[in-house]
Amino acid sequence: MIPFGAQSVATHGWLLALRLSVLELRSHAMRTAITGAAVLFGVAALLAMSSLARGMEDNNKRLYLQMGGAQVLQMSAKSATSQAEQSLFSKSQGLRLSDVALLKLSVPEMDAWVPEMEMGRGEIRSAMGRLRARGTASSWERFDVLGIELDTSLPFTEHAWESGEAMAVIGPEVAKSLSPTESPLGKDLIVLGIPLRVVGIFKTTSKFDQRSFECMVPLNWYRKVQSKGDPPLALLRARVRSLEEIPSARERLNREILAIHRGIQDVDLSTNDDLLEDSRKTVETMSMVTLLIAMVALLSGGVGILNIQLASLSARVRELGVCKALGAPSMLLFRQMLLESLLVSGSGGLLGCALGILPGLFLGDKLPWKPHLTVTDLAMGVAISLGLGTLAGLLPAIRAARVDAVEAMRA
Amino acid sequence: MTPVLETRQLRKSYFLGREAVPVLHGIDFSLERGQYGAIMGPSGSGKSTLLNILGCLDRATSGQYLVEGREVLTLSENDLADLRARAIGFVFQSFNLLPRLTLSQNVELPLQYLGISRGQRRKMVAETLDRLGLGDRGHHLPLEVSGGQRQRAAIARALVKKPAILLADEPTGNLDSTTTSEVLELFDELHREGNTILIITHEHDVAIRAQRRWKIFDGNMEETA
Ligand SMILES: Nc1ncnc2c1ncn2[C@@H]1O[C@H](COP(=O)(O)OP(=O)(O)OP(=O)(O)O)[C@@H](O)[C@H]1O
Ligand SMILES: [Mg+2]
Repeated sequence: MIPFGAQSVATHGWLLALRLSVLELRSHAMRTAITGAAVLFGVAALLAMSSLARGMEDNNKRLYLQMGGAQVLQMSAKSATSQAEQSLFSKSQGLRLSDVALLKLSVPEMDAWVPEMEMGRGEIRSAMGRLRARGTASSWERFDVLGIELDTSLPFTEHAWESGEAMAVIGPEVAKSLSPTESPLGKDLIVLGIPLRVVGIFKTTSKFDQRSFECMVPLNWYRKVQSKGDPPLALLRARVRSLEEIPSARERLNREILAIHRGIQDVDLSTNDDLLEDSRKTVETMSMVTLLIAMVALLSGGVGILNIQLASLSARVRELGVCKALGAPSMLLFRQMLLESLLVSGSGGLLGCALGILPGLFLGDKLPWKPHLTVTDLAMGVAISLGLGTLAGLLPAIRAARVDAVEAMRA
Repeated sequence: MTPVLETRQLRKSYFLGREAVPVLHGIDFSLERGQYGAIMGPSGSGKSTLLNILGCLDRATSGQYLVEGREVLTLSENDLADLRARAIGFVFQSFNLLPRLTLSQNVELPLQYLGISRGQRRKMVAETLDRLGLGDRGHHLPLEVSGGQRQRAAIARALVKKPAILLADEPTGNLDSTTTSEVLELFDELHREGNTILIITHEHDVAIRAQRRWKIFDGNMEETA
């Protein structure tokens, strides 16, 4: 007989339990794979969703910076939402270029003003025909306030821009359709029948970048060819000198617009932070919903494991009794059973992580925003699957430990 | 010399609700090292109940039970498992091999419970399988071999750790007459090699080969010639 205390079962417990549970799972490869697949899909869905949500958030932050960041306020004409508003707004002029000069005088917190006119759809053409482009007519300061960078450009000056020379800066997608093979710089666009020379191409991150399809022309040129005295503005941006002055600037701006518009509230005023907050809320709601869906998937994965383990337990009661008779301590059977579900859920989780990374690798440039996964996400995926395995495995493991050998073998 | 097994006034009752149903009424019994004993008795007389207690799978209601002089009734669950792992070799009527493990894995299992090293385990398993004439059957699953071979594998599993006692509950109950005599030959040989063996049977032909015999009737046991 092997003497007592020669080697303790306890120290070998986990390793032995691991070996035995691997043996058990291997003999039910199919069942194991199917059970693990549920966890796999749950974790993959979770990661895919959170990578998309984080990518969207990244994208929103980029947009925020493209719109000038915290210091830029924007005004736009409010559209009437009721009949009453409609008749009220008809008595006012809306947001007009003439407003800018008045506001400049009365809101000293601002250090830059960028009026924007929107060009009509179909106004922008090439020699070949219509171009798909979003036309904006604006002042030179727009480059600075929005931090616009150019990919390539011909030399052109502030003076030339502000004096309304016929020139345009376009996005790479517009450039591609204007001149697919050679550089579009120096080529002509046609707006309202008048040729405009392309002097620059915007730098963009992808074709989903809002500037990819933009065509920006000097405000003064557009006013001239349109020959409207006081044209309506699609947007007016103003940059506050310093962050501390934002609240007071906002208040004063609101007041002054009301005064100019004779008390009619027909202009919306918002900060980029408002917009960022809005989109953050949208992303948050979206990720809550998808998180919920992924959680349900994971939960059903856990229920699957629990179900299989309980079924396996009742099929193996006799074997467990035999193991006890052969000297297996209850703790070993507990560990063995728990490890079985941990192995299933853990490997499901790991493969789910691999699957969750895929959209980021292969869809990166086919989506408007780039999926973004962090190491923490992956760790969370594995942790959740292990937690799930523990939860689902606990009850069957406790039952396995409590099997009464005599009862089990009588059955 | 201390007996391998010894009971003093061992009693066992099952409880059906509040009512105690006595099955064993004070059993005094002992088996010395190297002895081959057989317990006989009609169905329902309490043979398996006694064997489960002797095998440390079940606890007596009162009395004393000693394995190599060690008091068993007061041991904790874990110590009982350890005692089973080291001292007791079980052989069952229905073999009870684990169906998804090969014969050698089945034989190896009790050694794993004891934390014996891999190399040592391999050696002990090979030796034992060889000893029982299963040297070339180790990689087979239980379902792939005959009933006699299964029971020999089960005996190998009980013997491999060199237990203090081999306990067998109707070991030939599921075997035909040729394999029965084969297994009984084996028990004879194991006895000659110095193993301590206790078997339960209700067949006189089986019991007759043992060195000592007891009859159990209505929960009382007495030694017979
Ligand atoms: N868990 C239990 N609860 C209640 N009574 C039980 C229990 N186990 C056994 N018994 C009773 O104890 C008595 C002895 O049973 P045991 O299994 O020890 O008999 P046995 O001699 O092994 O019979 P057999 O030869 O049929 O195997 C029987 O009357 C049986 O009904
Ligand atoms: Mg019985």
